Amino acid sequence: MVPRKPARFATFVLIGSLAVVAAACSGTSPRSNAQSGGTTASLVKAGGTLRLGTPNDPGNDPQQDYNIFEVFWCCTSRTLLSLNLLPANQGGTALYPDLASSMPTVSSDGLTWTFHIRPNIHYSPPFQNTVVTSKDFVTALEREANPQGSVGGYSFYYSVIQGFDAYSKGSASSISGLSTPNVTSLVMHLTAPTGDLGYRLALPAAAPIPPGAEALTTHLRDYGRYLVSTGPYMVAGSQNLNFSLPASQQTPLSGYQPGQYLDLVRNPSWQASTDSLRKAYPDRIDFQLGGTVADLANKVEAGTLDELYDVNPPASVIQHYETDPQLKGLIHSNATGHLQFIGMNMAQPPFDDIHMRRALNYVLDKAALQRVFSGPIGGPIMGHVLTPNLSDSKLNSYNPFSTPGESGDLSKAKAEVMLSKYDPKHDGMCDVPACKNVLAVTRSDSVYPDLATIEQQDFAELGITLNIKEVDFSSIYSECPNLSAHVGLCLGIYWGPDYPDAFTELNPLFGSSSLGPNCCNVTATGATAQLLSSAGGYGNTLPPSVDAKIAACIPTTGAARITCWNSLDEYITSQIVPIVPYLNDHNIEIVSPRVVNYNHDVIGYISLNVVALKNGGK
Amino acid sequence: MARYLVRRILSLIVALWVVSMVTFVVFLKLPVGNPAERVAGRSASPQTIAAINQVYGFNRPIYIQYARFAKGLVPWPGWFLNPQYFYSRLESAPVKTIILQRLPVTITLALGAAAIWLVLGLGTGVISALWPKSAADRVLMTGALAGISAPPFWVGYLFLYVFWFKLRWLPPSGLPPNESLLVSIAKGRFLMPWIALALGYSAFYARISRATLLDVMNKDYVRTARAKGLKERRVVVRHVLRAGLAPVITMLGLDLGGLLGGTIIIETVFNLPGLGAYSLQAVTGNDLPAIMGITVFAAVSIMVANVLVDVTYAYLDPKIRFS
Repeated sequence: MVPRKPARFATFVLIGSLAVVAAACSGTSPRSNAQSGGTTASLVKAGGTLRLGTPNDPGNDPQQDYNIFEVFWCCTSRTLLSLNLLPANQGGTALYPDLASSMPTVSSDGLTWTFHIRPNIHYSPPFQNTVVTSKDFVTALEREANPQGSVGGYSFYYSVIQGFDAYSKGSASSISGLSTPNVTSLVMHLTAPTGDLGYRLALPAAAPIPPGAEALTTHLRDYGRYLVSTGPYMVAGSQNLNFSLPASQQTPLSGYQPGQYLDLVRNPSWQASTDSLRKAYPDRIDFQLGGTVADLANKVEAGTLDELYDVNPPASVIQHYETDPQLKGLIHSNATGHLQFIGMNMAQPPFDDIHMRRALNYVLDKAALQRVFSGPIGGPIMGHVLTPNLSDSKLNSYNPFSTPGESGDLSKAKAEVMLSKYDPKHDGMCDVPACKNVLAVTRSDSVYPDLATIEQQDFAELGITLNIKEVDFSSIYSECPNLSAHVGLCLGIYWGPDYPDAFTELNPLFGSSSLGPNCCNVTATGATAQLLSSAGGYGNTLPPSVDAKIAACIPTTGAARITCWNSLDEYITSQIVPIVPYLNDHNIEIVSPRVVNYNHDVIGYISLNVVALKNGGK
Repeated sequence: MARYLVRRILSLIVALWVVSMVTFVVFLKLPVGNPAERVAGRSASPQTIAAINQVYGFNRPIYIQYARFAKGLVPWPGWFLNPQYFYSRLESAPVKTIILQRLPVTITLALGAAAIWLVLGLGTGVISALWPKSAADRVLMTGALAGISAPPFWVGYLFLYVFWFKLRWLPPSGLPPNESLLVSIAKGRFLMPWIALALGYSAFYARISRATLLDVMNKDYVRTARAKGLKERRVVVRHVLRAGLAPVITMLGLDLGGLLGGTIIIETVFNLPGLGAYSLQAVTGNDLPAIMGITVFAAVSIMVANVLVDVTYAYLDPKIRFS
């Protein structure tokens, strides 16, 4: 999943300092006496318009947009099973029946999942008279399987359904593993037991599409501009959609202009009695898309927006909110599944030696990196891969490379270097050419250049000098995993799960299926001799693989699944050591005083399921 | 005149061909890896990549790839920026449609800013040239230097922070969804963007116009005009300004042409839904067809502006002949 971007705003600080004269003359800047996230029940009423601002566009196509799922989850697109969009300690990692009337029945071999569809669920206008049926889920998955319908999407999650790939390749006219014995029953046959299938079916791509919406024909590529809702909200202008017109005469949803705005209004077809997960207090949710983070943060403080969405405020704004007693209650630091880490290319000297990798884990001043992320409010320091949301908090104290104050331990690091084959002088410094001018890629935006400076200094203490290459945010996930580029260290990278299951963290980062320039394995874990040979310039040492261990965890469920993934995390962290984990960065959100009943989900976003406007926005 | 225009248009076509080749190579051939993977986005399935290869012909010989791309540059019905090739994945819409939707905002921004910088820049330049080394000249030129030195993004942030966030004198950034462009202009939503964009240009225009006017004022024909007993006002208006400002016309045309390709920084800072904001969105979202479409559109804008400038210039300056 494309991670959200913490903001760096040196420019904002500069502007602030230069504009101080004008500011001092003013005094019109609003301040709130109200407490953010106030949960006084009497204030929580339905009504009003919640106004969110984000520089990013969450998208509106359930099969294509692989970015922010929350807007689908809370508002427009119900799925068979759903999350409640609350924190982990409030059941936020569990799945609940949503459009399914109950949890699915799973066969003893784990290969057949049977869902029963909740009756009498109607679509938003103009399909208000159409009931959701089991076939509509098949339509959604067929669109996800269609390469033109799901460009940019995440069809790989559904390859486990029998016949999905054949349909995708065009060699079958339907997905053989999906059957609909009647309008309320959906049966899925899998090629292999998959413990997290429920989560995969909770993703927006599996949200039903009504017959007549032409999502497999006329609107194969642009259904997002014609989205039909099942949730409590629909895109403004939905009632004006007219699918009976010729394609050239149809006008898309007026409430969504990509990169500009997304306006959600109440879906008259939605019935609260059928939906126990969503309170849907605001009458309307308006997203202002685009602009700069600094300006959006000012709008929140000024009260013209209610929340800064999908991006952390600038460091200066965080400090302002933290130190101003009247604003302190309006800032929230939400736990996420995000892991900030440094990836080491284990196929390339000197990181083909585990002692060098262990040395980097010891030498890094993680506390200094945390300070760059605004300090403790930015999230806790990490010593392993899985964040508390993914490990059920069972690994919170696990940190095999812990150092005093998490500030690094040079003596331990040097001791590791001395054990490696790259310290012929045995002085704790890497003495060979492989340690000089190591290609290290980082992002050019946000805090990453500042982090790279610290990392460069730390690693230099072990004799490792870096040739830092800055790339833009969208390029880092193609630069780092590209084995041909011989990137030694991937500095400016992090990963966030798509749903609260460790598969979506451990497989992309360490599975061999995720190797290659189009995905996410930046450490060469599991790379084969053939792959390294075709990349060129690598020796005969093969990096270790964890594929078998991942495969062993995939079919498990429940507590056994958590234990399995946690064990794998411990194994990877201590025995393979492909990365230097350093932070579980939080989503920091600022809200206006109008926002009450504030809560957040396990991904770290404001919970639009439960948030309300004070006194219904009046 | 006709021959001149034909010649200019032919040279425009050659230039466009060169631009198309460069665009094709830069965006499709220079970057490492399969362009289909970049169009498809991260974690694309092999089927998706195959489908994109089919649509764009990335797996075909290079001349066919170029032909598919270049077809979209031919101003022929159904060809120019055709949606089969120039289709924005991020916006799920043809690039041409998006450009047409966003162009009015960019034109409004560019023309409004141009009007401001012409008034400010030329006014300052003329005053400085007419009274060189005076106190006014020194003050204005120092101001111009400051204007050139201030980056537009910084000026934009500063304006927003002071005039909206703190003082509330001017409207905030962005255009409300259902507000027409004329209403937005009337409400002053473009005022800060115009000025922020115009400041740097006006400073530049002031310095250029001052230098050219000073040069013209020392020409023999100006001296002759004065010797003939013409009033100073007539000398300045009829002889000095007409000749002295011709280079400014050249600059204005090219600057406007460039701005039509998108004013990325100002549109982003002020959250204006123009071509600049769209091009940034396309680049950060790796929306390759959109990036290429905008690049070509920007190139065409500059070239057309160039032709118009040449024609205008020839009228303004008697020394230039169409032949």
